[in-house]
Formats: sequence, C-alpha cells, structure tokens
Amino acid sequence: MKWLSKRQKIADERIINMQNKIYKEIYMIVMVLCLISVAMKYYLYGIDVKLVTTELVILFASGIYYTVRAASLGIFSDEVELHDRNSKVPMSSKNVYIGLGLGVFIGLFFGIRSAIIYGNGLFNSLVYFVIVFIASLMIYLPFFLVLFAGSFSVAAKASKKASEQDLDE
Amino acid sequence: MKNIKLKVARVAKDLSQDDLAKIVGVSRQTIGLIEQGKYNPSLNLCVEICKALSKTLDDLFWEEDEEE
Repeated sequence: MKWLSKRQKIADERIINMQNKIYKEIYMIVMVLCLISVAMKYYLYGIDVKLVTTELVILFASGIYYTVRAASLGIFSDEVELHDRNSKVPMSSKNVYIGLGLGVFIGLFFGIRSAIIYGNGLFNSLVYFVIVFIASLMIYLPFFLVLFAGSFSVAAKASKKASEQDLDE
Repeated sequence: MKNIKLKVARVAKDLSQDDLAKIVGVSRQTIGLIEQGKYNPSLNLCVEICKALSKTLDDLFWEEDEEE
C-alpha cells in the first residue's frame, strides 16, 4: 500500500506522537489547575458561582468540545463499541445509572439539608425531608437523565451517522 | 487507495469486518477505513491484522505494482 511501498514525504511519527502525548498532559494539568482554583476560591471566599465562572467554562467547554468533535468524526460510537465489547454493562445503561444516581444524590442532599435547617422535631424534619426530596427528584432526575443519557444518545447517533458516511464514501 | 488484499484475505477466512475487529481489538469502522485506504494503521496494528488472517505484512500491505 501507499504508506509502506511508496516513498512519500512523511512526518516524523515519533515526534508527532510525543507532541500529542505532551498536549494530553497539558490538558490534564489545565483541568487539575481549574479544579484546584475552584476549590481554593470556594475555601477562601465562600461558595459563589460567579467567582469560578471562568474555570467552569473551561471545564465544561472542553468536555462539550470533545464530545461534539468525537461525534462529528465518528469516533464516539467507536469508543462506545469498544467499551460495550469489553464491559458487561453497556455505556448507554451506565449513563442512565449515572443520571439516576446524581438525581437521587442531589435529592437526598437537599432533603437532608432542609430537614436539618428548617425541621423542628423528628416528624417535622421528616416531612421537610420527604417534600424537598420528592420536589428535588422531580426537578433534577429528568434534568440529569436528559443531560447524561439524552446527550449520550444524541452524540452516539450523530457519531454512528458520521462513521457510516465515512465508510460509504 | 483501497486495500483489496486485506478484504480478500478477510473474506477468505470467512470473517466479517466486525469479526476481524473483535479479534484484533479495534472498532469495525477502523477495519472498514483501512480496507478503504482512508486510515493508515500503525505497524503494530498491521501485524495484528496479519496474525489474525494468517498472512504476512507483504501479503496484505505491499503493493507490487507501485514498485515496478
């Protein structure tokens, strides 16, 4: 084939691979620095989203960018295929579980928080817990399900389409 | 340029792209793109494919015509 038989102008793969490795490390360093920055700001100045907007934008934008690029290049569905081949639990199910888990966790967090802050006596605390827990579940469960399982499903479908198109051409 | 030799060797072994992908440990699309000549596999991947199909690198990845 071309890449083995024909003497063509080639880039030094070793250098490119090493550079990509360094870029990967830089990405990890930036993510860790952002997380440290968020933790430090919360510790020093208290919990305020406005203080950490830049860090959150960097964290979320890079994640969204990766997902969109991986889906448009068709490798997102390939990653899922490889994962599902080696794992007993399919990635789609894992995303549903993560969405459900986070929804229940947030519900429990707000429920317990309300029971502790506003509850007066055991029964009253229990009522507060149940009401806030159910209300939080109603809000956050669909939100996290759409965020994780929904976006996963959309990205996987788009990636599959891009991948099939690549093979059809 | 399409890698017809790879496709022929795979079919001769009665393997689908998916079967070969599973043996080698890559996605089906990667095998498809190699057969279509749209992806240049690393030497390691070439060797794994050759082993899976009981062929040599020359058999699958050497284009005689271009040398002549």
